[in-house]
Amino acid sequence: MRAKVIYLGIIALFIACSSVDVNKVQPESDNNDVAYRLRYSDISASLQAAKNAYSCSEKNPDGRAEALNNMAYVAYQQMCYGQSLHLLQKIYGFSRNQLELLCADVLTMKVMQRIGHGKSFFDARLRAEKRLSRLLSEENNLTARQKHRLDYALTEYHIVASTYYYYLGQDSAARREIAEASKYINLNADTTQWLYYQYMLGSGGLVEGTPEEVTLTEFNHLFRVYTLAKANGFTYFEANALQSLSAMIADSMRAEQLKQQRTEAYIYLYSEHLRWQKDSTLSPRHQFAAALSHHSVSLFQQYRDLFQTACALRTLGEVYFSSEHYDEALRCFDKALHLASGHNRRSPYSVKPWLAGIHENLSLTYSALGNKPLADSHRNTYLDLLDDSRQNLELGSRKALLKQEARSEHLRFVLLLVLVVLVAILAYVYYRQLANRSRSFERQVCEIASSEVSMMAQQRLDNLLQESEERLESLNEEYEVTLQDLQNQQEIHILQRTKLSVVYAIIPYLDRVIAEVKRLDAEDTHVVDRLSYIQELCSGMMTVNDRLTSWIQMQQGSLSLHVKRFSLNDVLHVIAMQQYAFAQQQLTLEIPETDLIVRADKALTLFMVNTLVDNARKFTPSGGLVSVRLDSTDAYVEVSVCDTGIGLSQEDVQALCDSKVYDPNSIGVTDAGKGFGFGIMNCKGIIGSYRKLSSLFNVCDFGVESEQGIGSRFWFRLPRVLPVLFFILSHLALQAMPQRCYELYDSAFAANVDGRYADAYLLCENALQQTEAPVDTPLLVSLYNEQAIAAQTLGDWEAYRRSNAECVRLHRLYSTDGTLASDCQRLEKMNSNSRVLYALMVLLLIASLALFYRVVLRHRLRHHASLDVLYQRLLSVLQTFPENTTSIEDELQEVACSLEHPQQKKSVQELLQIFSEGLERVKEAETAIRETEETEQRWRFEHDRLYVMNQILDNSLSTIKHETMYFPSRIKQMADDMQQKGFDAVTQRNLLDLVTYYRHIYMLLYEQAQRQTDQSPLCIQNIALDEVIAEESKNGVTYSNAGLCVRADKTLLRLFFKQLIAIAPSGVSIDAECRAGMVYVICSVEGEHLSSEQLSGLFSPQTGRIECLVMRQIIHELDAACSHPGLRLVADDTKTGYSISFSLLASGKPKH
Amino acid sequence: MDKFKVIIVEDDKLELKGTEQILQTEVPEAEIIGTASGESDFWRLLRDGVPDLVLLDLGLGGSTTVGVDICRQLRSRYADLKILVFTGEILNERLWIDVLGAGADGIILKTGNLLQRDDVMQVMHGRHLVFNEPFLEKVMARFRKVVCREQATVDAFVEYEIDEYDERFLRHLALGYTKDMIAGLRQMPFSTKSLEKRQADLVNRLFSERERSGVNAVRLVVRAIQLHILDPENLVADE
Repeated sequence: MRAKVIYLGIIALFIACSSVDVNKVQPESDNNDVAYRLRYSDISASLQAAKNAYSCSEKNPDGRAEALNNMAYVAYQQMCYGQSLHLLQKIYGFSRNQLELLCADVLTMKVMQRIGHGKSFFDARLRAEKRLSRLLSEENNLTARQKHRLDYALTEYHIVASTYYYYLGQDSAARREIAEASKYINLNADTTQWLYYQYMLGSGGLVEGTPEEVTLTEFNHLFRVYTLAKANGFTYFEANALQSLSAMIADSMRAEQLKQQRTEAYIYLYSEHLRWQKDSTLSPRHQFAAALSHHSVSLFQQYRDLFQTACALRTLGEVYFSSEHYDEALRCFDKALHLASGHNRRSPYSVKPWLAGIHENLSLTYSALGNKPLADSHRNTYLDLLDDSRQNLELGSRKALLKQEARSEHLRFVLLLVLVVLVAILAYVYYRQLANRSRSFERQVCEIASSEVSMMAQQRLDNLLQESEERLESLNEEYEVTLQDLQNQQEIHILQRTKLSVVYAIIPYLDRVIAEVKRLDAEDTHVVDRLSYIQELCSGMMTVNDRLTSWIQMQQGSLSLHVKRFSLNDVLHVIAMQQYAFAQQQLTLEIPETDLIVRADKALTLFMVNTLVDNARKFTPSGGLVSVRLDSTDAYVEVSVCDTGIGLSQEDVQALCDSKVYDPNSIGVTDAGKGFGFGIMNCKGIIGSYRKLSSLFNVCDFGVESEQGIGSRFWFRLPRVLPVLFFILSHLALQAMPQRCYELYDSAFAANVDGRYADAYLLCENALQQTEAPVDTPLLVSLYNEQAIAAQTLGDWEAYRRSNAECVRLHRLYSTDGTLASDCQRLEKMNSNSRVLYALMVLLLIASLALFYRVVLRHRLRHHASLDVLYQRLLSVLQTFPENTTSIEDELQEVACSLEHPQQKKSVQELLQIFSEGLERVKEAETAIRETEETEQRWRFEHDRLYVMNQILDNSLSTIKHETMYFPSRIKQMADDMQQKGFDAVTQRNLLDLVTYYRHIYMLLYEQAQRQTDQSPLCIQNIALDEVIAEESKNGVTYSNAGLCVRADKTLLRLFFKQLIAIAPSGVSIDAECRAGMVYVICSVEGEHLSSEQLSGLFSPQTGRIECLVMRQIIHELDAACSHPGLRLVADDTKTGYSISFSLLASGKPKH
Repeated sequence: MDKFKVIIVEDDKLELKGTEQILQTEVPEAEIIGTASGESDFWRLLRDGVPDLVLLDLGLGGSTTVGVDICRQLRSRYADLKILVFTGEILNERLWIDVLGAGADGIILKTGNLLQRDDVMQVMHGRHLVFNEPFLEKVMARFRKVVCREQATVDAFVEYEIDEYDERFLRHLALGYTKDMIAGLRQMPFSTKSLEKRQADLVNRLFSERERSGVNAVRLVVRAIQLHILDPENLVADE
């Protein structure tokens, strides 16, 4: 209590020392009055007057402070925020005049509000509040002039606060503040403040009621401001009123209402602005609105207010926009942006919301003009600026501090009471406790196995076991999925290899052509036969090419890229595992850490980085450096692999970059260094696939920079996630999104990127119905943002405004703390009176603790130490379980040994047995988990490897198709010409060159593709034929001979039957027999007859069905895997249809 | 030479036409008594008359390596029949070995100059192992590789000053012997200590100064294999 008295005394003393000095007379008041009066009509004159006041106020600090306040205000109006703050600092430096300091605080608030420094705004507001409470308590002592100045400060204080809340979207707080301001407004005493107040009410958002009422009320306020400002020459308010009126009239509903219900005022304004109406192509209403804006712009220019000029230009642009005069609108917005950017370049204090608004308008206008890239660019800037200008989150910490303070305040009183009571009864209680403890220790140790702690530990042990089993179960599911994926990729791989075999079918023809061309002799009697044979061969090649083309086209899309977002760090982490291989060659491998996220195919990205790093390792001499570098822009991440290797010549770089096909053996510096593999070609192919997939991947690119003897840099670009989604899309926020909505959001984003805006809009709509605020505010913001983008591009302005407004509102809501101001005040108060109580509490605590120790602790602890330690050890072992799974058995064993009482010993040993058995089972489950994980990883690895191969094979086959298609027809044409016109040695040479070149290119591309085929052995095992066939029985397959086993690869055999079913959808009956170590399977297809020609060509690349070619490939693979026993695949005619027979190696019983 | 009878086994009609043309224009002695596009056709044809020469393609229709089996059966039934394999399998070397093992007299790859008169005539004159140029080029490439490897072994012994004890020591290390075990060999009159010294000495000889740190016995043996000092196909312990 005494402390409180002292504390209050200090506060009183402080207040007395700093009480308001209000009784001095200021001779400079005239100049200051002029400056104050003129600041809304003639800013230069106002500044001059303020300067005059300043220069003649050397001996009067109060007048000087007022002059500085006026100068600072002018600087504020001219957007010189730095200078304004500097002048205000001067006031804080020398003045003790609380009134002027209050004005300075209010102006500081105004500046901070404009430049968006929330924290400084509240600091200034707190200072202003303190001063106000003191000034209001001494209000009666103020002179009339000081009273006037106080009213000014008060109105300004509330208006600024109202503006602040308004821009934060806290409309009720803004209305409360403006209502407060109205108490101090007096038209006769201070016209400018009255105008300011009226303008605030008219400018929108502060009036409550139905939309019609709001329109009328706001119009009344604005009209009042306009007429009065015009009559008194307050240019600033006149222009502001015109600007707001223009926006009002641009709205057709509001304009119509005003025309009806405020006809006279409407006509007056209209007639006043006839001369400003310049653009006759506009409708009369838009002409009127544009005229008001034009006038407003002109007035602001005259007043030299950059900020408001740009705002008025924006309003003018919006008028043009709403009348669909987009070019005019664009000109206005550009001008506004020019003004705004000009200021931002000059000043360190940028007004971001202002800029953001202009960028939003520009984005919409470009969107309306159909210029999507520029529209997107401005929208991105808009969103970035909004993000930058949100309330400073640093303030959040203040609130946390406040809560903590509140808690400790509460605690202090409770503690005081508790301490007193505690000291009195502590000794008694503690004695009893200790006596009980020594008895209970013995009892508890005896009953430890059935104690609660032990039961809980056992429960945890059971949980552990259950968790392990559940994990094993889910892992098994994952395992099944991976296995399925792997089998799919294996099947795709066989299809790809079949295609490759079709590609290979051209080679014998080509060799025949070459041989025939070499044998051509104009004198030879067989020359005609040879030439026509060449033509036939060319036709044959063309047939194969056509089949390949149609097959590739038919399967397009079946092998899609697995595009998803992932962190590049995951990929680089795998690459970093090669450190040892690099160290072996005395090379340094540098891999950066990164948090960049890209959208691409993870397996292919790993393949690309790995290929490039591997190349770099091969071509960098010992002691060199290979480094992976990441450079990013908003749109893409550039992954570079740099080395200090032997480098490449300019010709080689050009060959790598420009030509689709190149001979890898011709690339490289020295003979030893030649042999740049097909890796680069494959990487380029992958980048090409991305670009073909979607316009999102237009940023994808591949490039090489190299200098001989210095090193090389191979780079590629992938789209970065996510430049558009600014404020919330941190990784964590994304993870927190509900899965379903997140997927919808992702689809919407992709739809927007792909140009399917209507889909994107609907997807957002759908997702929005499934989210709940405020838990999912970040998701909502993102969804509204995507919806706005979609609506904007679709040209649905109404929908755009709705979505964008919601997006911005939620964003503000998400990042705003509405109670911040009052919280900060309370915090200040609480801080000041808590310290004394603290000191008291600490003293009491120390005293009681000392008492504890002296009275009981010392003796009792010594007495019960040994038993206590043992029991605690037991408890801690049980309580900390399962953290100590490795040591619990040893600990229990040791405790059991240390105990002497047999019953206690037995009890602990029982416990030991329970835990030993349980842990054994957990260990078994964990081993199973590890094994499943490893197998799963292995299958996943196999899957990725095959997937990459399949993708690259796909690219290679496309390249073969594109690059060599033209040759056969060209050769055929030349042979045709030779047959018709005769030929000489030169013509023959030309033909030979052409064919040889074709073969060279073809073989090159074939070998590249061939390298991508899986060389790992097939999994040949004993398989029960009926088991595999039974899986297909639902597809109409019947099988009559059970019990035969074959040696084959299960996946291939399944695929074989799949193909069989595909060619005979009406059903197949299968018979099998075992002869001389082979199982002959005869598959009869009923009802369909094939001619002998069709039957003989069934497996030929020229004429055979694709399914038959796949079957042929499978038999070929199995034959190779079983060391060429000569497996057969034959088609024969039967009475009722035809049959396909094949042979497989027979085996004993299948192994499971 | 007298006329002789030929059966061509070829599943591709266009290719068959080319082969027939070659025989007709370049080997007029050859009388084509029949052509077969599949296995059953061929055996049926053979029942009508046995030719002097079978020109055999390895892949027929869906059965891509059936030629090897046909060749084996032919050889077992007709010991004197000439079999010349004419195949497009220019990359499948394993199949060449199989078909030669099955009794083919020669292999002509369907590339380069294809089938030439000389090839056919040599077979008809009873020569075995008749190959055309592309085949021989491939064989030569393999042969060159083997010879070069052997020469590399000789060069390595000289360059790295390897004596017989070094070789024996490295060979036994590669076979998993410990130094104690090697010291116990009759032909290695060294103590474990001096073998350790020899190992350090070998590390100095086989590795450059920069590479030497952390080289263990395994790395040393691998290096010896890389430098052809040890032949992995010929790792046998003494005694």
